Amino acid sequence: MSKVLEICDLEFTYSGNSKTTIHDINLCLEEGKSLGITGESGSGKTTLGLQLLQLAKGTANGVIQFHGRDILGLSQDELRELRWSKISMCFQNSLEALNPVYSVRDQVAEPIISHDLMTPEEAAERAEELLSRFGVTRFNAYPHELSDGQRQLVLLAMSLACDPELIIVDEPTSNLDPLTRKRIVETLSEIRGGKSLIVISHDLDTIAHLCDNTAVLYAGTILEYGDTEKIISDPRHPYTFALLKSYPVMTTSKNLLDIRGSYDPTRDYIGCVYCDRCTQTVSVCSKIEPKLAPISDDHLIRCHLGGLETLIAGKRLSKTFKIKNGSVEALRDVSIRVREGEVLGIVGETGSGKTTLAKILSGIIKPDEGEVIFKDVILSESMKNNRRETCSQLQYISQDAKASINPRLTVLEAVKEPLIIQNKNGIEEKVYSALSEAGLSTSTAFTLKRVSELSGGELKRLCLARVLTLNPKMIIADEPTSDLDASLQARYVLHLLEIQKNRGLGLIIITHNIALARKICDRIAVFKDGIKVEEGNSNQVISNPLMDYTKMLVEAAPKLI
Amino acid sequence: MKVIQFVKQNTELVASALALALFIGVALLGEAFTPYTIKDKPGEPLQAPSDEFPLGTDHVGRCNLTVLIHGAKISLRIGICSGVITVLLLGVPIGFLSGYLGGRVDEALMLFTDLFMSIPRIPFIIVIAGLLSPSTLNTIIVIGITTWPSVARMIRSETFRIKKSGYVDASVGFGAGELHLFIWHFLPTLTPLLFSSLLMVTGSAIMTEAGLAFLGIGDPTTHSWGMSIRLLINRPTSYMTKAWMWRLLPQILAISGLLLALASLGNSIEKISGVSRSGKYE
Repeated sequence: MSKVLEICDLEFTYSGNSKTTIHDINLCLEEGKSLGITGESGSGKTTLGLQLLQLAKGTANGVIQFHGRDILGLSQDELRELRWSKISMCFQNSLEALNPVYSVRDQVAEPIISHDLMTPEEAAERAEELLSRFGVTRFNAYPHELSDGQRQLVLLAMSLACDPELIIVDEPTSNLDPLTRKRIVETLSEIRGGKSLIVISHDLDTIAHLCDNTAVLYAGTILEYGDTEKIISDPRHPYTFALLKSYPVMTTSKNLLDIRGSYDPTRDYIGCVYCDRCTQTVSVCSKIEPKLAPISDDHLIRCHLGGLETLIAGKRLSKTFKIKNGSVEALRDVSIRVREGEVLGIVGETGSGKTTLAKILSGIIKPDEGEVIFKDVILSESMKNNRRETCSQLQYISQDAKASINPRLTVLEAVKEPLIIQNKNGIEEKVYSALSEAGLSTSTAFTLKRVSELSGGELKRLCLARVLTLNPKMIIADEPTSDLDASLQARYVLHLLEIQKNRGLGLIIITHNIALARKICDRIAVFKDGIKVEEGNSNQVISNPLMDYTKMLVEAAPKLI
Repeated sequence: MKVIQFVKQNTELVASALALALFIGVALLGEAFTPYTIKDKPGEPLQAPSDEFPLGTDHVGRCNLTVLIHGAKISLRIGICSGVITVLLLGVPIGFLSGYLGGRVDEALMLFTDLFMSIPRIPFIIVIAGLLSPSTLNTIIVIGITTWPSVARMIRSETFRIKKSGYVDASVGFGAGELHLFIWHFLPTLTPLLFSSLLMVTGSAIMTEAGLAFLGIGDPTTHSWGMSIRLLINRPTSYMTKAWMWRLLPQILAISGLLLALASLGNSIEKISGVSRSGKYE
């Protein structure tokens, strides 16, 4: 297939600006294919779209080839020739984009006439035909007489007027109700026929429905590029992952999470543009900007670490305990994986091997078969060679909070203990920030209390504070909310998710409360008798359980009504 | 103000500690203030209390007060030495190693402990004391080796409980080494226990020594309180007179007072530290 558009090392700076708005853009669009460009507001999506038609005022470097012809070198006349007839653009703001004193039919016909493609009569006819295909029948109406959705449809019709080869659609569905949005998306995909399409949108749903490939833009550069379906189902860049977590859809039941921090357009980024919002930043990230590099066929990401790291992976784990008369098979052939920033829920009834799995994953007990890989190293080896460091990265929160803190210690001592063990600096500061992060008081009256005087809820959060002092990458929490009342449970869980957002840690939550797992987990694995019977997206597992056992668990979950 | 508050909150501790300090002070310094030594026989035998001899004299004419003060030294020496041998040299090390190391070591040490525990104490003491020539050192050794198994058992069970506790697991999870565990978790719980057992064993050793002396197996050349009581009781004529009031009663009161001070000090240490010999944290 021939390439319609090829962009190489595109860089653009608005006039009067010292900082580039977009840089290092490399994209390619094949004939008949569609490309989505997504990202947060201010990521440079629209600038990129405008630049394709040379509509933004400023200096551009690089190459934009349309059918092998460099657009950047064209004169104004040649550009005028190109616009509308070869490449058309459907603008974002519908009321401003349309001229208020012309009827919609005249506006759709205008580019046809100005490019001398047809006589005015023929053009008007064509305009009417296009408009009716988009479902707009009031041809004589003026833009202000139409609704937002209808105006958007008019703009879309207009962009198709000259039968261009490439259509660029900027935010076609923003500010529209879901039904109109659905109609626009359907009409657009139906009408465009074999034309190439670029959709610029922050609405991931629109992109998902219209585009074959997607580029995720951030701070004017592409962070991830690949097959749309792959990007949405299995995002590999931390930014895309976070973006998807903050996008409300019907297929997740989990709480929405925003992305920590914000992009500062005035700042000069030396290293990776996403480095100070990213949760897995290492020292190289702030020094050298990574290149957009392939991680698999047709899937590219811009990350030094090769995208989201797999924090912990258990491979074919088995464990049998010897008891008096024989043995108990606690775990059989279980494989599990948790990535950076991901929450995995492990549910199942008592005795289903959940805690055994947690203890194996955290290195407390050794599996009979299989191995645990933590941050690309076999856990048993890193425990042997570099135990202290590994311990600070991988933490297990026991189910029994009361037993897991020495009751003789004061709160302050209890929180200090891990830091003293790890021989860290700035203990006081870390202690207080961990206490407040876990939602506990930092007053002297509280910190000098003995642990034995604390309530169940305080103990749970104290355990969390102790773990947080070490800034672990992976927390395995065993029944974190058992014996907490509903309000405390909600507070604890929200704290946990907030911390996860800020630190990007991987979480494994072991619980028998499937309703809770549904609210906080990205994925749920269901266990029965030491076997993983089901695993999947949390909403999918709960709304559409494959196994009878999962159905039973879901039915047994609290419903109130 | 803080001192007053402390005393108010811990009356038992302060009172018993003061009483014990008084006994120890008298034992250490008392002889320096008496005009006579134990070897002097300044008066007529069996005199009633007078200005010169506040508690009268004994059957060879020694000052009874001097004998009482000297007895405090002997009894406390025997008690404390037995306590140290029992608790610090045998009970705690054996109990701690057994509980901490577990496994084969635990089995072997506990077998050894059980062996000693199964020996009937009083008959064994009598036999040993009879076999060895009676001396203060032998009395200390005999008391020491028969008392340590109970201390070892207690320390072992407490050590084992701490070792298996969730908080030690948690510390290990934070990357703690054995030194940290020992300083942070074992020592603070075991120390008060060690002191309270030391006090308990000291008391029981003083009592046992008195019993041995009374039975006539003690060192006859020393003048512990037990020996003084024996000397009096061996002279049945003493009962005919009021002499028991100044010869027997002071020794009995001294023994009772010292034991009471030791026991209540031990109890209050347990109470304040929150550790009890039954192994629960309260």
